[in-house]
Order: sequence, then C-alpha cells, then structure tokens
Amino acid sequence: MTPILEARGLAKRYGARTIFSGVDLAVREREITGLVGGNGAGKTTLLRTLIGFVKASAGEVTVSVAPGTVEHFGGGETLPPHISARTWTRLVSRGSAACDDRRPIRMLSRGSRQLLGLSAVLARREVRAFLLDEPWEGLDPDGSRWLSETARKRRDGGCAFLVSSHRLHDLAGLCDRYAFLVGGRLAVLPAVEIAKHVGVADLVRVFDALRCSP
Amino acid sequence: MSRLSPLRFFAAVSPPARVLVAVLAVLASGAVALEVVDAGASDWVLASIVIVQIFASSTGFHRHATRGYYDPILLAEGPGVRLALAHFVVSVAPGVGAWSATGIAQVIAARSLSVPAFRAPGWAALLLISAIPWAASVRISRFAAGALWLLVTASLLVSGVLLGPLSAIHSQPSWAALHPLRAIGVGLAFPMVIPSLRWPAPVIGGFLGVSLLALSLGVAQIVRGEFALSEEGT
Repeated sequence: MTPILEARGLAKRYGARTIFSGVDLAVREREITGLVGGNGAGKTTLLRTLIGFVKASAGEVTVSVAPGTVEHFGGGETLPPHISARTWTRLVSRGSAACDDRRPIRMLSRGSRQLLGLSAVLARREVRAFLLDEPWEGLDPDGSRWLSETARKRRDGGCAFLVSSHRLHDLAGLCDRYAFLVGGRLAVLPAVEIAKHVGVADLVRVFDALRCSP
Repeated sequence: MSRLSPLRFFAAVSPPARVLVAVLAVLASGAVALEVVDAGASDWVLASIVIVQIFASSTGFHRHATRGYYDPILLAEGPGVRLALAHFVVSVAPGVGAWSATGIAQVIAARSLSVPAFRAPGWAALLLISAIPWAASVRISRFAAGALWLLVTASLLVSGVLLGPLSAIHSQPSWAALHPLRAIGVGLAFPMVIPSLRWPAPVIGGFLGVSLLALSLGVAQIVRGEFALSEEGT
C-alpha cells in the first residue's frame, strides 16, 4: 500500500526536553493506523509535526498527494467558539456538507462540537489522508458508531487514517495497525501490525510491555 | 476541489471586534454629515479613526492559531506570505473603509483630490497605524499592541516631552525638514497629528519605511512560526 504521508527520523525537542525522536511512520492508503500513547506522550505534537504546524527538530515528512488533500482534526476545543456551526461547516467542508444550526459553536455541547468538526472534515470527498486527534472524545454511542463506520467507509474507498486515541476499545475494533508512542519513541509492532482483530486486552498488554521495557 | 479562501476564512473566524467596526462606521457617517454641512469640518475625524484603527488592527494571530482555530486554513495554505497578508487585510479593512469614506466625503465637499485623508501624509498615517499594531500583536493578545502604543503616547504627552516638537512642527514648517528623524519620532509617538500636518518627503518616506518594516516583520513571524496547541509542552 502506497504511503500518503511518510516520516523518517522525525524528532521534536523543546529546549533540552525531547518530546519524541527517531520516529519512522508511514500513513498508507486503505489503512487506519491507531496512535496510542499515555497523557503527555506527544501524540498531539507528533500529529501537528506531521502536518507541518510544528517544525520538526530533525527528520523529514514526505507528502505524496496534492496540497489540500490531507485533513486534520484536533478536537472540538479547536473550533472557534464565536462563529456559527453553519458557517464553520460551510468553510471547512468547502460546501460538501450542510448544517442548519445557526448557533455559535460555544453554545453546543462538547459532543456536538466534536461531531460538527468531524463531520465537516470527513465530508470532503477529495481528501486522501485524515489525521484525527482523539476523535471519539465526547461522542455518544451513536456518534462513536458513526465515526467508526465513516472511517471504515473512507478507508475502503482508498483513504489513509492516522487516529490518536486513549479509547483503546474504539481503536481495537477499527485499526489495521497500531503505533505506540512511549518514552519519546514510536513502536509500530509487527505482531500487532498484522493482526486484524486485536482486542483491547492485547493493546493494553503491548502498551504496558512497552512502558516497562528500558 | 474548491479552495478555502484565506480572506473569507479570516473574515469569518477572526474579524475585527464588532464594537470597533461600529465605532468606525459611526465616525465615517459623522464625517460625511460634517462635510455636507461644512466642507473641511471633518478633518479631526481622521485623528479619531487613527485611534480606533490602532486597536482594530491589533487582532493577534498566534493566540488563535495555537488554540487550533486556524488549523483548516493553515493546512490548506501553509503559513505563507499569502496567508499572513490575508490576515493583515482582514484586520485593517474596517479602518481603511472608514478612512476611505471620510476621504471621499472630503473630496466631494472640497471638489478637490487634495484632502487630508488622501494626501501623502494621510496614506502614510493609515499604513503606519495599520501595520505597526497588526505586526506587534502577531504574538500577543488582541488589543495589547494598541493599548501599549496609546499608553506610550499618553505618557509622552503627560510628561511634556512631545510638546516642544509638536509646537515646533506647527509653528515652523521647516522644522520637520531640518530634523527628519525627530519628526519621524514625533509622528510615531503621536500619529493622530500626521494627516493634518505638512511633512517633508523624507519624513513621509520614513513613515512608509517604518510601516513596511513592521509589516515584513509581522509576516515573517507568521511564516516562521510554529503552531503547537497552547496546552502542549512548549
């Protein structure tokens, strides 16, 4: 499967503090990669480095698709609170999605904000790769199901996904590969990579093993 | 694939404060009314627009960008010159609109293009009070640059430092030509007087140079900036 976005030797440091280093990761078409890591492990920084919002301290990122065909969603808190849901949807989806809600985004519940941001981003048909940061956060069961089904459909249609989440049970039912960001290093384990139906217990076991390893 | 226009995006996501836009609209309407009653009566309105524009153009960039509000446009455009200039244009548009409306009213009333708003000092003042607060606020909060500038102006006025040069500029038209650097300093410290006075070409060139330098620095801060979310470990 062709990598749409590929990082080689990626590192990010803030002063003496290393967030991650030596990160090699390919985000491939027709694949959903789950990015797993503890609080403060650097998942958000890694996603924002991959799309160029944060400058890498070392390494490089190669994008093999046209500009404007990689999308990112950083969570409901990254939506501007003062503009209407309708305006945001129209702007971000480039007219691919419609929303009749004229309320300012700050008036929406946490889950509704999350759903609004995700639906605007995922509606864009021309997008080839989606980088989603904690996309299940705040979603109710219907929203969670919609997100997983939409991601599966878009993956089957040829899209690539890199999805960070704490919610291992959501990742476990969806991802084709798992990348663990632990102690500033990224491990994409072959044993997990090839398993299509990894359970939550398996993910927890791998995560714990990585945390305990020197 | 339809493109996401940076102008449209910033106009929707970070427009200038509504209250300041309303004040600018009132000032422009007042200027038009004054010019209808008495040609040349609206010159002082330009000084008011200067004050409001100093705040209106202090929109800030990084604060919104590091909250993720600009993620879609940063991803679509990248943090390039085009994006930075679009943010500048949206930030200064209401002030430029009010200035232009006042100038057009002055032109019609005076039946001449040589009115304070449209003379070289007027354009220089408009660029100065648009570019400097915008550039200074790229990394700080909205309005902070405008508040700081007016604080310095007020402090200099209260301390009396500006009174000598200001009266010299008013009483001796040659003073600014003899002391161009001091004249530029006076204009920077008290930009409200720029449109209403005659300034020699080197001083106007100085105002333009300072404005363009500020604009370039503001653009460079955005182009070279990085936009980690504010809760990340910077």
